Amino acid sequence: MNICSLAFLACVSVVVIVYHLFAHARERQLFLTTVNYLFLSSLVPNVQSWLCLLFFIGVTYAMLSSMRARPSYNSVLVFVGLIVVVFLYLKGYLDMNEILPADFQLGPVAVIGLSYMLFKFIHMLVDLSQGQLAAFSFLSYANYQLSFFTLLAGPIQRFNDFQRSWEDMDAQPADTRETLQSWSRLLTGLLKMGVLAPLVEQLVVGQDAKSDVLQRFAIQFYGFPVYLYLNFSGYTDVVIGCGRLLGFQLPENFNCPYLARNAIDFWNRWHMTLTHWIRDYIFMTSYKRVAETVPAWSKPLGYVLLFFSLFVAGVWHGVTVSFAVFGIIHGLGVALNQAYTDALKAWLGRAGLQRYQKNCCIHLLAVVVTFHFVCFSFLFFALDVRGAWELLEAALGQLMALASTVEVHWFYRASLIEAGLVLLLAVLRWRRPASGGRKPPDGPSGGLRPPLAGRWLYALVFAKTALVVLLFTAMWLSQQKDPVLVYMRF
Amino acid sequence: MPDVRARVQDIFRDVFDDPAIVLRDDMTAGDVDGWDSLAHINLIIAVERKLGVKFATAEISRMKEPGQNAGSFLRLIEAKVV
Repeated sequence: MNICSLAFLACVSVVVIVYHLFAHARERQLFLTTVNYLFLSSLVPNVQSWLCLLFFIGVTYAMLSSMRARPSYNSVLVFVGLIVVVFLYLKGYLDMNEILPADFQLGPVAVIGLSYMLFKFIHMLVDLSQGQLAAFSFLSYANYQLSFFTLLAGPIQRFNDFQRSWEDMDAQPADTRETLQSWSRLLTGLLKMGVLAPLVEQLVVGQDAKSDVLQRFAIQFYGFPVYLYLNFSGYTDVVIGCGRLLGFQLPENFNCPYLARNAIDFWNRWHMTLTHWIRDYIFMTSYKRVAETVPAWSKPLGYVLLFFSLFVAGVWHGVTVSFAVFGIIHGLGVALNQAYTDALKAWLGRAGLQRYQKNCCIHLLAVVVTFHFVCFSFLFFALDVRGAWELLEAALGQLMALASTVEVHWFYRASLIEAGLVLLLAVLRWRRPASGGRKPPDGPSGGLRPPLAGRWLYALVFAKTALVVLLFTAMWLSQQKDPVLVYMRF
Repeated sequence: MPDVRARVQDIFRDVFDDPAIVLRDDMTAGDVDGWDSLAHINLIIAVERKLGVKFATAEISRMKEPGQNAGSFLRLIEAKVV
């Protein structure tokens, strides 16, 4: 079932109503298990895929049970090594068909959400080995891994947070305002993912190869990041809304990523749960080991580990040259960002660095530069290396040619307009009242804006519902294909 | 435990190279210049070494969540030292 469809919206409505008719936690748990199974059934294409999925869940549960009985760091290394091999094989990155017996050779399989399951498993294994994991059963583990609101593309929720909600199902349903806000969030997600994202996608994909190269470049350069944000954050809004309607508080994944002031800030705002997982289980673990073992080398090795961590984030998207380039760009961006900050601190001193970071002109410039850095990196996300390189080369060539003419090409005018819009956006963002730190993540106001009064909230939810139903019906009647979640293929 | 608080404050001053730091319960990473991920780990290592405690990955990660502050960090250390 496509998560961005009227059918999904209708199913969620039924699920939420039936869920709240059950009074006891155990009944709700079993009902949710059934719902998760039915959703999964709509996605798993064949028997071999089912077997692979059950094998993965079974083996990882067995490893966790073993770790629970005898926690050990060495077991963590062995289990992670083994499961990564299984993961690479199931994803088709490792061809073992020549060494496996015929009965175990893999045909075409599709194990949805496998990489997210791998992250969740590793987090559970490490936390369990350190005595930090809540009690779990096979039922709670399977539902944690396969719950329909995190299966496709996260967010990567931590098990203890899931378990709290899983055990707490006896609680009263959320109040009316919370319920309406959750519906509103879900509907906003559908509009972003199902209406806005496809519009931008058509603009990006439907370009005529014979049109002006600068126009093609500008649309690809700026359009794809917008499309990707709408597509992925829209999905996140849908699943967070669903989760909240069923009493699960999922973590946020986005926080105005294109207003980041540097590469590190960007990854603290984009796909946040992935960033936090990589920070906790790759970067912090390895840097701690390095800093304890060779403290004199901890700073330069820290930069190397930052690079490596973001390189992993890049190739996690896919084991291709273009995603490796994407990872290299962001790895270098983050490492150089940290080195630059350290150099500024050494040069300006603490007070000088504070003044530098609070300077609004520098902040605006940093946001513009970072936005363009991210757009550049997304060229390699959207296109293969050759395609991205050819587009860049052609665009730069035409820019150089135009620079020698007197005529002010539309591209330069558009660039000025765009710079102005970004400046305006950055000023508006800067002028928001401070809340002791960053703006809260995308989604419910988090306290900065006063919550909508009851009637207005009802009206908003009603209007969004009507809009979603009308627009999705129109798209269905015009036989447009359903929007695809980009991050589902990772 | 005033002794633990004083020792942790000294560690903060040493790690962040700022003798003016005064530990408050409501202090967060945003209140201390240079408290980024690298410095966070250096702080953890220094506390582990000087107070003879060990932090789990999940505990280190939780310290960076909204709502966590120096007060919650101190309480965690005090629970481990006892």
